[in-house]
Amino acid sequence: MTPFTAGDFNKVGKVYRIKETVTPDASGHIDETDENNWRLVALRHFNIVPKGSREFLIGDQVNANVTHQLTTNYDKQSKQFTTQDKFIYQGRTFSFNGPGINVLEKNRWLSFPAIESPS
Amino acid sequence: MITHGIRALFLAQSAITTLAPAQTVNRVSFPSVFCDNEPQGINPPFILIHFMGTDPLMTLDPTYHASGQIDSIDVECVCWNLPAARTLNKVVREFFEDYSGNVTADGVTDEIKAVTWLDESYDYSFPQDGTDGKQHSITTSYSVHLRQGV
Repeated sequence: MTPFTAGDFNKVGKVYRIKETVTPDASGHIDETDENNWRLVALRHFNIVPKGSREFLIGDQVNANVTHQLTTNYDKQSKQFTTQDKFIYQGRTFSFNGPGINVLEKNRWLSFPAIESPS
Repeated sequence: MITHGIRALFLAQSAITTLAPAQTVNRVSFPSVFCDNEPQGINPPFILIHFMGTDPLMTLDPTYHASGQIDSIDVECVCWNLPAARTLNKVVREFFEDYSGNVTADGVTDEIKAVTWLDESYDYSFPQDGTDGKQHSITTSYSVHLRQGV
C-alpha cells in the first residue's frame, strides 16, 4: 500500500522564489511582501493536508506554527524547494517551513511542513 | 536611519567583511551585516546592528541644539564558535570605538561626532532548523553622539 495515489495530488499551484537579481536594501534585507521580488520556479500538483493540532515534530523540536503538510511528487526540481520558497494555491500563500521529507525514502514523494500566511 | 549608515560603514571595512563575508542564499547575494535580524537562510558569521533608542543632546549651542542626539546602538557579532565571535567583535570594536565622520544612508547624511563603548555581553543560541551547532554571539553596546542631517 502506498501513502499516496495519483488522485491525491489534485491541488495545482505555483512555487515562487526570491529573484536572484534583487539586491538587499539599506538594512540588508529584501522586501518579501513585494510581489515584484519573487519569480515563478515551478508549477506543481500538491496534496494539502491541514495539521489540526498545529504541531509537527521535526528532529527533537515541536514546530507548533505549522498549519499544513504539503506533499508533491519527488523530482529534480522539487528537491530544490527550500524554506525560502513559497507555494501559492488559489490565492492562498503557504510558506515552506522545513526541508522536504522523502516519504518512506522511496524517492517518489516529498512532504513539506508549511505555514499558511495571510496573502 | 543611523543603523543603515553604520551598516554601510561596516561594509566598507575590509577587515570586517573578510571575517564576515557576503553569503549567497538561493543565488541572492547578501552582505553579512544586517539591521535588526538576519534574513532567512543566513548562517554565521554575520553582524547585526540594533537601534536601541535615542536621547536628545541637551545643549545651548545653536549648532547642536536641534540636531544633536545620542543614539544607543547594539552591535551583535554572531559566529559558529566563540573565538571567531571574539575576533569579529574585536575588529568591529577597534574600528567603531572613537569613530567620527559622516555616514550616509537613505539619502541622508549624519555626522557622527563620537562613539563610546559602553558594555559587552555574551550569549549563545541553537539554530531553530533542527541542525546541530551552536551560535555564539557577542553584543557590544555603543553610545553614538551624532548630528542629524548635516
